Amino acid sequence: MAASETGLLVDPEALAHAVAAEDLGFADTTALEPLPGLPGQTRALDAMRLSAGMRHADFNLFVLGPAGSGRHSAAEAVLDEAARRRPAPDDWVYVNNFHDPQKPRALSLPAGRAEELRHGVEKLIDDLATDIPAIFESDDYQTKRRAIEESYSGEQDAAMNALAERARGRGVTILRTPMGFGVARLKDGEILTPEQYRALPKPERKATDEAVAEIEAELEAVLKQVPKRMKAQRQEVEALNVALATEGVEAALKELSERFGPIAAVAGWLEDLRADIIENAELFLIRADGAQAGAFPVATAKHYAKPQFQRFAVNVMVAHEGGGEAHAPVVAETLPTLSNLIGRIEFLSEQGALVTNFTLIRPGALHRANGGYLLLDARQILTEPMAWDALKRCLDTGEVRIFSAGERLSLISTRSLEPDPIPLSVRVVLIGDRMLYYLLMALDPDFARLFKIEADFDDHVARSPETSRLFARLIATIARREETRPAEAAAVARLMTESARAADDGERFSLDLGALSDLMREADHHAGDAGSTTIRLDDIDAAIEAADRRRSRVRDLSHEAITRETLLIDTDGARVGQINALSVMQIGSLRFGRPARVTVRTRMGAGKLVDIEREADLGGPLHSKGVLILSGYLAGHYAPEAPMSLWASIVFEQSYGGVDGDSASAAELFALLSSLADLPIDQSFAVTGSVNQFGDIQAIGGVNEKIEGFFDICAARGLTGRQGVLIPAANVKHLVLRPRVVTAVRDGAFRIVAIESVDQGIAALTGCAAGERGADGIFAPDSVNARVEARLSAFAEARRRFGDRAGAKEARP
Amino acid sequence: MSPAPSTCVVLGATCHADASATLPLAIVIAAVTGAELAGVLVEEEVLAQFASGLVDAKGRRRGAVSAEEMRRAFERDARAFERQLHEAATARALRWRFKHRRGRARAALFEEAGAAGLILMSGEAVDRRVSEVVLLAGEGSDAELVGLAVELTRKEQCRLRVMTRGARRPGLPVPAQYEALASPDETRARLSALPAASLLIADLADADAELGPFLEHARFARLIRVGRG
Repeated sequence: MAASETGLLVDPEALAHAVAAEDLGFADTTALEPLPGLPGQTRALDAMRLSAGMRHADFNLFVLGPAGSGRHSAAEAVLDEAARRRPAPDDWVYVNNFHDPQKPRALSLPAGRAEELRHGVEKLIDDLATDIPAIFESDDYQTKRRAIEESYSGEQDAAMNALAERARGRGVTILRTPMGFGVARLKDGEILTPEQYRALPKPERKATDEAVAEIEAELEAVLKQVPKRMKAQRQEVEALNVALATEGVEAALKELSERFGPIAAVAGWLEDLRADIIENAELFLIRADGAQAGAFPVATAKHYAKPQFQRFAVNVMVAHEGGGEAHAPVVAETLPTLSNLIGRIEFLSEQGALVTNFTLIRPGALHRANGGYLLLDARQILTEPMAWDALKRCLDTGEVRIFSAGERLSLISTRSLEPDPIPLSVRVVLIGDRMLYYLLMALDPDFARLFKIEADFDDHVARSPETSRLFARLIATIARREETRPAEAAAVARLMTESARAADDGERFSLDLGALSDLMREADHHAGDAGSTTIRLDDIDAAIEAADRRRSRVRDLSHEAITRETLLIDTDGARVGQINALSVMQIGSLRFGRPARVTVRTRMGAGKLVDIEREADLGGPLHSKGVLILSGYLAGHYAPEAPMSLWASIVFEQSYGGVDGDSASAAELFALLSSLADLPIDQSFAVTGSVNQFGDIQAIGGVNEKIEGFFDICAARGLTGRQGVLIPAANVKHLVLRPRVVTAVRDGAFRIVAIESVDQGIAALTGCAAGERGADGIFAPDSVNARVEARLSAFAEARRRFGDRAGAKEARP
Repeated sequence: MSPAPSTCVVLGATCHADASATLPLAIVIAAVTGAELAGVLVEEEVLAQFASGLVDAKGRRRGAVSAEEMRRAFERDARAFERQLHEAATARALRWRFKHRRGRARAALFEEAGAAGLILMSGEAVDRRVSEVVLLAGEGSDAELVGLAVELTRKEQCRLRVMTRGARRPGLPVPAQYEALASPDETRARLSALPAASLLIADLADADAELGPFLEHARFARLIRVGRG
């Protein structure tokens, strides 16, 4: 038969789509310029640049693509570039709200000035800690205060002394006891005991009783004046204190007020600060640590750090560098918990109670990224409790409001703070895989509104001379970034070929840069072991083989089951209704092909194809679909005028784990045709490919692994030269086979046959021409198709006769 | 011959409020003299007679106070006095002791002070610092009391008045206001007019016999020496 009737033997050169080192035009990667961007990702990069450059809210970005595609580094590079074109945003601080300490105030300052304010206030407190005690210890103050005290105490003393004199004149005295003042009787300057009192003559007793009553009454009157005098005295002393403190505070605050006067919010707070310091000037007179001042003189001590001055502190939430070089921030939060995102309010334990204040407010990533860009991993933020909700709320409201999870869930009842929310203007960039993106689009009604731009990273790039050059430069860039040895041209070519294999396509390069980097680093290790200064072809091969070997345990077990004939797979001989199909197993990072025996039994019936896998609930929907297509092919191709009177059962023998996909549908059809035509199939072949109702063979996935899976079994048993694999012609471009297969094909020990139609396949497998209908509408005699049609017609006739007999039987009385 | 330095300063009071107001002064005196500080809360045995009438510091008359209530009040004040004394003395690394005594105040304090002690009888609790130090100087005023008067004047940043009953004036290194006393009556009259924030420093050995009972019930703090060592 001609090659066109049995498919096309694939040329060995087309089996690997290998990159030729000599075409690269360099000796090693040191000769190549680093690549600034990513090849083949212009669509995603353009989307990122658009989002980064837009001023409008809600044009947040979702970078979607597989891990290892360089999403993170590309996003960081684009955002860094965009950030440099934006000015540094404002600094933010939290300060005490002197009117309502539970609601700390947020103040914004021009970039670089938050720290200036903090240091300024610290210096102010330090200065006042020295100045205010000096003011209140001055002779001037002491003299004034003493004058006030004496002006009031003089009246009291005069009244009390006069009363004491009168008491003595009346023979009584005033005593002080734990329960108050009492009036006691005297005799000769000594207090009378109760016995002495009772011994007094009655008139004398009466006189002293009257004296006691009189003095007691006067004592009451005098003492009643004390609170009034004390209050008036306190007020006058307080007025003196305020006057002197005001003088001192205003002098100390003058410079700070001048520096920050133009910033209205800060100026307003400084005015509140002034009033509060004056009102609480006594805080500066607390000398708890005076005796333990230590080696540092009091003048250099950090007074501002003392607890009593905490109320005056400036809590810097976000501080940027000022000046011309300053630019917008790019913040990557790798642990986006709720508190790491929106900030938190910390608590201190004081005598068993949890307390807090505005100095314990801590910033989150949104604060740090405000005015710039925030990079988040989508999966991380979606799995952190409340974080996603909080992020959306912040983007929605345009402000960062701090709350805690415990507070939100009413798990804690401790009184907390309600800090001013801080206005938010940030571009959020989420990085995640495609599934997350599409799930969010489908399930989260807010997502599409808040994340209007998607940057979809391609998995691969089309292979061309231009992209090949860029890919080589990309390899050179990775070598520099990862500090590996330079890679020789042959090694680069091998890496590129391996990248094509990873793409499952000889005409594309995979953009899984993570895997590429891993391979290079492992090869670098082998090169080091070999004492080489460059990464060579052998090092790449060694790394590929080592990685393959590390994960091959399951594959080896599977193949061993076949070579030990536990799983029955023939690799020679011929058999009717039996064929080697090919499947791909994926376990973790391991992906390998494995042959599977498909058998078909046929007989006359009512036109039913029994898919045993489906009947046993082991077949997936795609597999069932493939089997149903076979019915369509049979019905349309053979004996169209006769009713379909076939019963056939199709099964994957020794398959216990379920089958899906339609890549075995061609093999199933070949086995079915073999059974119907009663022609044996050459078991030296394995077949992969799907089929449509017209008998065209269609492309399938995993073609390389499938071929290698059958090849390895054949090689283990000994290659005969007849063995080979039938693949869809449409899959030839996907071939990037391992060298062992290519070598065997080149040596004529193995065959890869590309087929386009069922006819080509059945001819190749049976060695018998498929046969075409002649002008008379009849298939060529002794062709496969003629035998199949004859069999089906025979089934139809048998069925008709069977029906006649049954009808006659029923009609008989 | 100068008397030996005092070995003990006895702070006497009849209530915790007075003791507390005078304690800072006692601490200074004990620190200056290097003497032990003894706190004594005296529960006058005659105080049961107040059962029908006491007036608090704000001029309000209290209801009847039983002897038992008065006793418990003394015990509370004693505990508070001792705790405060302990804290203040420990902070200044001073030796200290405390007693809650019942009996006549003068006798109890004299007994605690002994021959080589100084008695600081607490003044009425007032909300201000010592306004003046008044040194009652006799012919044989000892140098320790004079020195204390000078030191306390410096520390309290107040004025010093020296009341003398003889022609001899002690030479003092600080400015002082000298007042000559012509008679015991004048002495008593002057002392009766002293503000409650004054501190009187006197040697009872130099004083008139009737001055002792007068000083016992004075409103101001009195630092007195009762005997010569």
